Amino acid sequence: MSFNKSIKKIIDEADGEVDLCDRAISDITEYISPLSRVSHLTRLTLSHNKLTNLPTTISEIKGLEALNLFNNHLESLPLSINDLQKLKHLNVAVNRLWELPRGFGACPMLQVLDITYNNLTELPNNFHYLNTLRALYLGDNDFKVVPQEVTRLKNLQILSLRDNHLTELPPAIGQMSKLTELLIQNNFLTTLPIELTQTDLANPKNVFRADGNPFQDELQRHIETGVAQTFQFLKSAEYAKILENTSPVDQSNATKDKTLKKSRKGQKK
Amino acid sequence: MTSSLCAICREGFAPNESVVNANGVHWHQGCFVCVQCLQPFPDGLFFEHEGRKYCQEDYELLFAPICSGCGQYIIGRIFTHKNSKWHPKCFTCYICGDELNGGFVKYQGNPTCKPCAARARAAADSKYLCARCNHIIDTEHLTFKGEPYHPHHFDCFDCHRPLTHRAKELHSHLFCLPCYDTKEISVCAACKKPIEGRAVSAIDKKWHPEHFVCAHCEKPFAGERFYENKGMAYCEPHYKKLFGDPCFYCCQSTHNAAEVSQFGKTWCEEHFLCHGCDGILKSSSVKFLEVDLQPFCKKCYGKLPEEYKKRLKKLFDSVEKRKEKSSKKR
Repeated sequence: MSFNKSIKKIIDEADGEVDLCDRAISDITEYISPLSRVSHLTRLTLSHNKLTNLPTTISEIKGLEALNLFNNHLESLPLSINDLQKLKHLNVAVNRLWELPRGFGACPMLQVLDITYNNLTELPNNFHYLNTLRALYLGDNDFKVVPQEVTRLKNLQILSLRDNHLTELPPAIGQMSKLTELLIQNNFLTTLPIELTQTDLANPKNVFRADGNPFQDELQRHIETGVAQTFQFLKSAEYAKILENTSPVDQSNATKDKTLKKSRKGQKK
Repeated sequence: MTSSLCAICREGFAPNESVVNANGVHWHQGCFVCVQCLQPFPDGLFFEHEGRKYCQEDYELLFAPICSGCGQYIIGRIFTHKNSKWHPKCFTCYICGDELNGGFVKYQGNPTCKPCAARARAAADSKYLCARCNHIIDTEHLTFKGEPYHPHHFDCFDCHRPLTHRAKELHSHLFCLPCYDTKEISVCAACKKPIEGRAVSAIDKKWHPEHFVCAHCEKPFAGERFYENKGMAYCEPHYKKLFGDPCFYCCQSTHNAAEVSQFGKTWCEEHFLCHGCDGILKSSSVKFLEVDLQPFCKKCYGKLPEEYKKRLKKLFDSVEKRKEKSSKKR
């Protein structure tokens, strides 16, 4: 990859923010050292490029608060992301990530993490240490169960799990007391845990989206009428009976045809 | 023995009579009594005065000095001070009440132990007393582990130069100011004291964890999220109560001046960015779509993989449907 002079110029003239959106960049290794010299660089935008990996030297851009890697071809992330001690916003949506690096979870200030539209099936064990996280977007991935690591994030306000292969929600979701947005559309959910009513999602200010699931008929009817009614129903004796007689969708059937998913390209496995 | 006579009655002794013998002087049993009360000595204990023997009770009554401290007779060691007599144990420091064994000085005419007197004098002059040499500190004092000292008793732990009163204490050692400055010690923004253990970094300041509290309810955050306004930190409920919803991007107050409200969230105008390209969306001139209650500009949508666009299209449709339904209900 040749050192692009116009990109160099953008970096050299930048102050505080660098926007390298849609410039056909496939490798930023050479730009790291000029980037690390930009005064007070807090936001780096690399959306719509062709990055396949991120150099470990990314951590040299010490003051970075927002890193946007939206719509690239990343297949992995370096663990050195952890060393970005001021990182608050990390957007790696629309990439080809199969997993997050083991040990990911040490960013002490991370608040918003968007991993929408990747190929994740699980989260690393340290993930729950991200206790400053307030928004986590895991939509359009390949999760079959909600990772335990997620329900342990006690400060989480926003959780998107739409378009995965979930067959049930864990009861532990009731312990996520700060939840204000829960997006679980287009999964394979047939029931909802009673514990969900412990959250404040029925508050009209908050958002609960659950369309596109094969919910049990009676439950589906209530969901269509609204969250408050749904939560009332979840607490009823009638629902307790339904729970006894409904089994979750068989895991083996619970996969959607994602062969067309662009991010499947570059598949290693 | 028959040749000697009784020291009291000057008569001889019968051959089988029991005799009291003390230092070669002999008595009839009946003559060995207190010269005052003519009773035998209890337990054989007697006191002599000018060659005459007395029982303890009569001796004390007639001759023993009285302690100025406790008002009891003094038998044994006597302490004399200013024509008064004292039991040694009753002759105590006027200030601390300890026995004045190690000598004493007079403080305001009262016998006082040396440390107490020095301390009292220092206090009277509002001066400190050095905890090492017990002398008054005439110049500025140095505080170390809570006690005042002459600065000249200490050297800097690092450079070993003599210290002045401006030396600083850290981890139980003393340092001169130049050496102390190399230590990068944080000072708590609340109590202004150095932070030796764990420090919380927030709003460009350092805090003792227990001193980093909501400016409204003063409860420590203890790892919970906090929200900032004008250099002060608040817990979420109080922040919202006082300043309204914070900006979703920067978590700070929008001050209602230039804010955007969309999808149940609030943003500062300059922070209302396309979630894909970080482009500014503030004016209505840029069209944006909603994905997961976040804004995306149409340009970004155009650059997405075709398959993802189709998925999003479905998502938009379901959102539209939901809107229709809810508007019908109304």
